[in-house]
Parts: sequence; C-alpha cells; structure tokens
Amino acid sequence: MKYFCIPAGLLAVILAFSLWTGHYVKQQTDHWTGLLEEIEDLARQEDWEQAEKRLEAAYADWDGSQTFFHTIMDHDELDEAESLFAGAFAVCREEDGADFHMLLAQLMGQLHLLAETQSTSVKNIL
Amino acid sequence: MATAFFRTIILYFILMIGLRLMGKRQIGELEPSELVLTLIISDLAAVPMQDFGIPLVNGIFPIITLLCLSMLLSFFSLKSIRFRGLVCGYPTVIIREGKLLQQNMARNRFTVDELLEQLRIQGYSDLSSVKYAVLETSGQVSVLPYTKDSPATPQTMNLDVQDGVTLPVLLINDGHIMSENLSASGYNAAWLDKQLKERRLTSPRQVFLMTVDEAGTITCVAKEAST
Repeated sequence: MKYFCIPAGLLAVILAFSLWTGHYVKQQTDHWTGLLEEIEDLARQEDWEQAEKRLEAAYADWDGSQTFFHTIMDHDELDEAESLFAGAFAVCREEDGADFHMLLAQLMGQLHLLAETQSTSVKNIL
Repeated sequence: MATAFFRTIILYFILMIGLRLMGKRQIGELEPSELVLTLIISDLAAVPMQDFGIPLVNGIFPIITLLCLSMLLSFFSLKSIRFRGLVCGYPTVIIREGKLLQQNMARNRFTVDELLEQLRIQGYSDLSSVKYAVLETSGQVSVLPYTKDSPATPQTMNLDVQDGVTLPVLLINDGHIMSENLSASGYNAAWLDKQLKERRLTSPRQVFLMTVDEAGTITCVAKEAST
C-alpha cells in the first residue's frame, strides 16, 4: 500500500502547496495594491512627503517577500514590478502628479498580473 | 555561475533518485509511458538549469509530479491487468505457426524490414525456421523457432545430466569484505582469514576479487602490485 500512499501523498502535498501559493500571492498583492491606492490618494492631496514615506513602507514590505516570490515566480515579472517601484520613487520625489499616477497604475497592474499567473483557473491551465 | 552550479547539483540528484525509482531498465527496454516520462523529465531538468529567470521549483515540481504519476501508474498496473494493458499495451503475435500475420503487423505499424532486422539480430536468417514471433510491449521481438531449428539441449536429447549451475557470491570486492554476503553464505571472518592464509595473503586489502559458490568453490584474484 505504501507504493500508493507515498506518491499519492506527495501529489497531495504539491497540490496543496500550489493552491496555497496562489492564495498567498493573491493576498499579498491585494495588500500591496491597497497600500498603493492609499499612496495615490495622498498624492492627489499633494501630500508628497507622506506619500513617499508610505511608498517606502510599501516597498520594504514588498522587498521582504522577494526571496519566497523568486522561488515560485518568473523572475522577469518580479523585476518588472521592481523597476516600476524604482520609477515611482523617482517621480514621487519630483512631485510629478500625472507621471506618478501613471506609474502607480502600471505597478498595480503588474501586481495583479503576478497574482493572476499563480491563480488556479481554467484560463491559466489551458 | 554559482546559481547554475547549485541548480545543476540539485537537479542531478533529483533525476538520479527519480531514475533509480523507475527501475533498472535501459532506454531500449522502456515501455512507451516510461520513454515519454524520461524524455519529458530530461527536458524539464534542462530548462531551469540554464534559464536563471525560471524558479527551480518550476522544474522540480513537475519532475516530482511526473515521478509520482509514474509510480501510481505502476501501482495500478500491478493491481489491474486491464489497466496494465491500457498503459503498456499488449504483446502482439506477428508470426504464428510460421505464418506472417500481416494485419497484426500493420496494426502496430511494424514493417517487414524491422521484422527481418530483429530476426537477424537474434540469429534467424530464414523466416521459415520461426514458428512464433511476438512483438513485445517494449518493441522487442521474441522469437520461438521450430524445435528442429532450436539449439539442442540435454532435455531435447533425452540426456540425464546433473545440475551444476551455481551462483557465485562476492566475498571481497576490491579489498573490502562484503560482510553480509559472507554471513549469508554461512561463513565467518575466521574462515575467510584461513582462506587468505592458504593463498599466502595477509589481509583482505590484498585481494581484488574473491567469490564462493554454493558448492564451496572459491575464486580469488589478488591485487596487482601498484606501479
């Protein structure tokens, strides 16, 4: 029976880990998207100092998850988000509202894309 | 470069464990499902080994998944003959009573050239000497010749011979005593020492190979002096 239980158990573990990963990535990206929306509101109110501080906090949070994210995701997609963060920092310091909103929108889109790549859906499977 | 180094080591050991689990068959003896598995696994391992943008788990998880599926298929194949037939196929008779079964050959897309090649490999140049030929699920052809074309054996010649086949057991392998084999053969270290002394050897380290068979016949090859 162990010839059935061991492979079946391993498959169950891999499936559970894959499903959990999808859920965790969605949870994390939703969290960062929420933070970026708050930063966007601050920028609309021209509170650039606070916006930069919150952006730094959001980036620190993002950076802390990168080791795990790099072990499960395509590195190019993560590098793309990383460069959008860097661009958002630069534009925030220049206090350029239009470019900042555009970069944040791109960053939120990229985060959505990251969650999308890990979700268990017919679209992804097929 | 260190990434490539460590990834290669990890993937190599995973592949070695996986192939060990698959068994001892050689490429030419693989069932269709095993051949497909081997090809896919080698490709899965190669991609993350070279492309550092792809996480290692993207290679490891599919490999483990495939190996688990393979083990499950083996399990169900052992339990169900019908399932085994579905996965591995069935052996097909292509020569029966010396007659070529062309439909069976066509169904397996097995050509006359391939048949003649297989017969030649097995030492049959004449089709008329073959009574049965079976295309096995591994793609090999088993040939059963007519009795008149079969090699003579004591049984076919009605000779009463004593069975003298014995299985030699390895007792010393390149200077190392195989303790389990020694005790399984019913001998002990004292007996081994005595055998070495009789051959003017003072230590097992001086022995390259030593075997004993069920009849007690000992074969001992001393190590050559190192240059």
